[in-house]
Amino acid sequence: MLRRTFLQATSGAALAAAATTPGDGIRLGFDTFSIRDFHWKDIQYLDYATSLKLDTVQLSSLDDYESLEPAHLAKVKDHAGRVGIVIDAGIGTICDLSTNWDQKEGNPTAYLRKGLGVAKAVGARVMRCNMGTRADRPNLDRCMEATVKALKSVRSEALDSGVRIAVENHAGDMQAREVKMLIEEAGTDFVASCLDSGNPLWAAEDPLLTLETLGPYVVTTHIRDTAVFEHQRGAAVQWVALGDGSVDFHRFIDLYQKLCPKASMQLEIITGIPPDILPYLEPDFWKVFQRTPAWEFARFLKLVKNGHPYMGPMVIAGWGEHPPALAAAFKEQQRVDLERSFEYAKKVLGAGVRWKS
Amino acid sequence: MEELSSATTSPVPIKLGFDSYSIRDFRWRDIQLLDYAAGLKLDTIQLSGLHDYESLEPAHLANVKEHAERVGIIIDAGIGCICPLSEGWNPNMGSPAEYLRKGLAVAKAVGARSMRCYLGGRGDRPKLEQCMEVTINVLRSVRNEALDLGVRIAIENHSGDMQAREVKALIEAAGKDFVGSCLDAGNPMWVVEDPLVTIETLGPYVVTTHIRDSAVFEHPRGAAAQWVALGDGSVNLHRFVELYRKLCPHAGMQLEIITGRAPTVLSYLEPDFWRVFPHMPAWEFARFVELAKSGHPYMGPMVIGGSGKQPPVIEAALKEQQRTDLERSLEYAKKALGVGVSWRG
Repeated sequence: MLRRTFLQATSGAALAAAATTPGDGIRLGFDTFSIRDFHWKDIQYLDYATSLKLDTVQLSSLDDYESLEPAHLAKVKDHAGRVGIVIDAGIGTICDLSTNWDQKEGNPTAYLRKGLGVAKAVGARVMRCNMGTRADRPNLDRCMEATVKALKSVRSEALDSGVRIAVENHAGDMQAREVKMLIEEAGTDFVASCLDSGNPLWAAEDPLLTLETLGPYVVTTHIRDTAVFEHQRGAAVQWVALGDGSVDFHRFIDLYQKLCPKASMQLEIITGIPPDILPYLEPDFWKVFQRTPAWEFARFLKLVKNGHPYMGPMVIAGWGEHPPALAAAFKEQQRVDLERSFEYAKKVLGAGVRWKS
Repeated sequence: MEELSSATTSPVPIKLGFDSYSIRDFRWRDIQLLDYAAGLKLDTIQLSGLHDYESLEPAHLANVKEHAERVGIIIDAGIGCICPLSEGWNPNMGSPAEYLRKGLAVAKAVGARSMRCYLGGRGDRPKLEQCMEVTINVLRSVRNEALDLGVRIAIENHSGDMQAREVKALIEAAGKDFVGSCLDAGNPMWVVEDPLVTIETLGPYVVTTHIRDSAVFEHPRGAAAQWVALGDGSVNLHRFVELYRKLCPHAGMQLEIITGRAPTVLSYLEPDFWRVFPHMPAWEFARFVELAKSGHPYMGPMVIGGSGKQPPVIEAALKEQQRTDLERSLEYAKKALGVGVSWRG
């Protein structure tokens, strides 16, 4: 709230100072999931990104393409080149033991190959993917093992195509330490991190710790803010637009500049979901976090103690289908919250290249 | 289930209805509102503003009265601010006495036995004593008309203007033979008052109500409160209804559900906050602190609009939410609190 007020009060001064801000030189864009209810496709996303004077976009799913035919993908590559937008590519879950695995993809190796082919065709140098969700934590070791195996199976193709596979810390599936281990096990020459700054909250992890741990491996990102606050059962967390939450993004951008300045800062703004409770005061919570060091958790506790609920306007509807009136408001909110997050990223954090010219 | 069965076997039935403000964005008028209430198997409705009527012509009001009788809905009437010193006073209403007389006549014409009105808002607290004095005089000026018409004037604890103790003092000074209370269960939040204190204090004077729930929780500056649908908040509504049955069982329980607003910060840890509450006893405040300490933010779905004019899609969602939240609150009142008569068939 205070940071938002600061933005309004100092936008002119911040503009002038942008060239010397910590975000200087960091490419700014968005993950298409941010505005998923618009159901746009590749060219529309590229044009939208251009209209906002962005540098990059993450087409985070194969559904983001109008067609996967080579001719169409070549057209997407040409268009991106013409409008000056760098594409980061993406696919979904690559672990066939995960509850999130989509059987229709055949097997993980085939899915990864398909994604790499598309990434190469549109000129992307990175391809995001994920292992699973928090539902997979009881089965984490086996999932990580299967994922490492799947990744190793496409090492040659990845290296040949020049596309780094960026494993996301996704939906509470892994803590940063675990992602780092997975990347190193699979091979840092072709596997890297798609750092998500909102998902650590589902795994009781301070996003600054996530960045400190994964920074050297980050090649693309999903960036959003989170309101974190105490709850009788532990804490509660709610994803919010950039600047509306509890995460110290000034410190975050300092670290980003130091550790992974070449990685695109792709905003993945997800608002409208009710707060999620992390019942860490109850013993059962810890069953799936047996190896989390206390010092890491203490960092999260500090964040919780300093935070408070988001108190501003928001259409809070949750996941899934909504009645028409609510769905329309929810959709519009996706655009509004993404765009005001860009303003924060540009004017307060000084991220982005193109908008400054 | 235990609560439900004990509630449904209670010997004291409470009439259930709603304040028309709950679904204001539908811009329905008298007959539509009555039909909607009948459709929901309610007992009563509060038409809380004169704009709730299609027309104030006697023939139309007689038609409204007849329609209400036909569909079995009891009307509580209402007007707005009656204090000319208040920021909420509308000079277009002429003088406060004229406005009250107009409201009383409308109330009588539609068969209402109570008429809600209020002093002002929290912006009036710096000059509260003056406002209360003027309001008492205004009320006294229409005493005869109110008594002749058989309509009790129900002063609401409105928008943070007064604490329960202050409303009680005002009612007693004006004359409790013609002035009663429109007890609002959400507004006490704005004056750091536990709604249970409000009903304990005003219960014997209550003739109509505005009932809603609030989520209350601690905040670095004191506490924050957000109005929510019945059952979604921090207020012990089972205890509230128990007191209601004991203290004011004949007053219509009119739900005034107001959702879609962000939490309000009550900065009672800052000295300035107390400038407008110099006479509040600590024991009353301690009851609110207990409520804040035991509460937590509302964590469910809600469309929360910003300030000022909203984009059309947000307005449409807020409108739909008014209906949805009122109806699920009525369900809670019926099924969890055992309130209402008609729905039991």
